[in-house]
Amino acid sequence: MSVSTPLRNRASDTLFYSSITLSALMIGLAFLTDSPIQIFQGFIKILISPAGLITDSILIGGLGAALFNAGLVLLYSTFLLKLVKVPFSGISIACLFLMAGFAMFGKDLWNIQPFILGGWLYSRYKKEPFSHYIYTTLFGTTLSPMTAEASSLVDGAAKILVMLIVGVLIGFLIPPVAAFSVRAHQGYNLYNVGFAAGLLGMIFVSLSRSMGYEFKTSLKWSTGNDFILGIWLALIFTLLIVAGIFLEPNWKNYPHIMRHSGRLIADFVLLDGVGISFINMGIVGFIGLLFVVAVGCGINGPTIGGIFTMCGFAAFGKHPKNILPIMAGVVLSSLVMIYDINEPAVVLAALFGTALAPIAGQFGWHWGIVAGFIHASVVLNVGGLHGWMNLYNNGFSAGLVCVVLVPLIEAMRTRSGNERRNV
Amino acid sequence: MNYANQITRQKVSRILDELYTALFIAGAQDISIKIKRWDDGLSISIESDYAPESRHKIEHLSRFLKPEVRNAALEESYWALVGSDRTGEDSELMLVGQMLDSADIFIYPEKVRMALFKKFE
Repeated sequence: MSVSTPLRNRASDTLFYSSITLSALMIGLAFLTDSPIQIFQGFIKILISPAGLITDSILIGGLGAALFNAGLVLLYSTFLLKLVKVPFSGISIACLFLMAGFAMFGKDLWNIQPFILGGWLYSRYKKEPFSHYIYTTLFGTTLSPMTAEASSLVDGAAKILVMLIVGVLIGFLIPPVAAFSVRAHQGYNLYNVGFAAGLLGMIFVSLSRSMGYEFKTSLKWSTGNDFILGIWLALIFTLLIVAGIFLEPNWKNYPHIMRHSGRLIADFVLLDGVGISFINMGIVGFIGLLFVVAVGCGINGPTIGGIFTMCGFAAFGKHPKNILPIMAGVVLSSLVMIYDINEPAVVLAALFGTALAPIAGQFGWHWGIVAGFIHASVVLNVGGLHGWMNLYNNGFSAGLVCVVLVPLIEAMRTRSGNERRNV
Repeated sequence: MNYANQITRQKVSRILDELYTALFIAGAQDISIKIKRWDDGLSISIESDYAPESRHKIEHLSRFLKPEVRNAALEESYWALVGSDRTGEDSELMLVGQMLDSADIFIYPEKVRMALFKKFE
C-alpha cells in the first residue's frame, strides 16, 4: 500500500484560510487607524527606506502603512505557498507569522523579491521543484536589509540592478548553507535560517569592510500605540484559542502538547492537530504580549515581530513549558548584567530567544534558564558581525549558543549517567 | 552511484538508524533488515519482535510512517537531523514518515514487519 500524499486536506485548508484571515485583520486595522492616502504615502516610505536592525516600520511609515505592508507580505507569502502546492502545516504557520511579524520591522513587499527569485533559481539549478525550497527561501529574506544597503552605494537605475544582484545571490546561497547549518546545532535552534544567514551575512560584511565600507546600527523604535495594538493582539490570540476549542473536540488534552521537547522538527499540526496547535499559539502569543506589557517597553513593530514569531512557532516547536525557562534566563541576566530588561534589544532577546526552547524541552528547565541567560549576552554582541543586516540576529545568536552549549550539556549528562533511554 | 543516489543512500542510512532505535525502545531483541536496490530507489524490509506491552509504541510508529500529508520541503530542510538523537522522539519519526515514498506496516501479536520504499532523487 502506498502512502497517500493529498495536497489538499481539511487541516491544510483551515490553515490557509486562517492566514488569509490574519492578513485581513492586519489590513483592516490599517484602514481603521489611517486614511488611504496616509497609508499609501507611508507604504512608499517603507519600501524605499533602509531597514537594518532595529528599524520599526511604524516609525518610518506610520501605523496604518506598517500594518498594510505586513498584511500584504503575509498575503503574498500565503499565496506563494499555495502556488507551489505545499500542504499547509505547522512549519507553514511558523513561516507565515514570521513573515508578517518581520514585515513590521525590516521586510517589505519590495525587498524580499530578489531573495525569492534567488531561491527559485537555486531550485532550477538543482532541477527540483521550488516547493522543496520554499520555506528556506521565505525564511531567507532575513537578509533583506542588505539589498538596500548595497543599492545605496550607487545612484539611479543602477540601484535596482545592484539590489537584484545582491538579493538573488544571497537567496541562491541560503538553501545549501541552511541545510548544512542545521547539523551544527542539531535542531536545538528553531531559527535555523537565522543562524545560516548570520554566517553568510558575516562573510558578506567582512568582505565589504575589507573594501572600506562601514555598516551602522540604528534604533528606530516607535511608542504610543500600546492600547490599540494590545487590544488587537489580544483579539487575535483569543480568536486562535476559541477556534482551537471549536476545531478540537478533545481540547482538554491540550497540556499533552508539552510532552514534546520542541526540537526540530516538531510540527504540532501534524503531531497533535490544528485545534491543539491553535490553542497553543493563542496561549504562547498571550505570554509574549503579557511579557512586553509587564516590562513596559511598548508594543510596536519589533515587539509585534517577536510576539508573532513566538505565536507562529507555537505550531512548530514552542509551548509554555519550553519557552518560559528561556525567557526567565534572559530576565535573570538583566538583573546581574549591565543592561536592563526594558531595553529594546533585551526585550527582543527574551521574545526571539525562545528559539532555544528545545534546550529547555529536551534537557530540562534549568538548562533552559542557562541558555536564555547566555543568549541575552551573546545576542547583544554578535549584531556587528553581520553589520546588523540579519534581521534574525537572535537566530544567529541562538545557533552559536547551541553549538557551544549542547555538546557541553550532552557531555555532562553522559558523565552523570543521566540518559533518558537505555538503548 | 551518482550524487543524487548517494544522498538517497545517506537518507536511508539515517532512516534505518531512527527505526531500529524506535524498535529497541519498543523492546526489540531481534531485528532483521534487508535493503534491495532497484532502478528507481531502495526498498527496505524490516522484521522485528517487540515487547507485547509496547504494542502501542509500534502502532504509534506505524502512524508516523504513513502520514496523511507529505511535505517535501520538510525533508529537504531537515533530513540531516534524522538519526541524530538517542531518545526516539516523535518529531524525528514523523520526519522519517515524511521522507519515505511508501510504507506498508504489518503488526502481529509479537512481531512487526515493514516494507518501505525510498525513491532515488
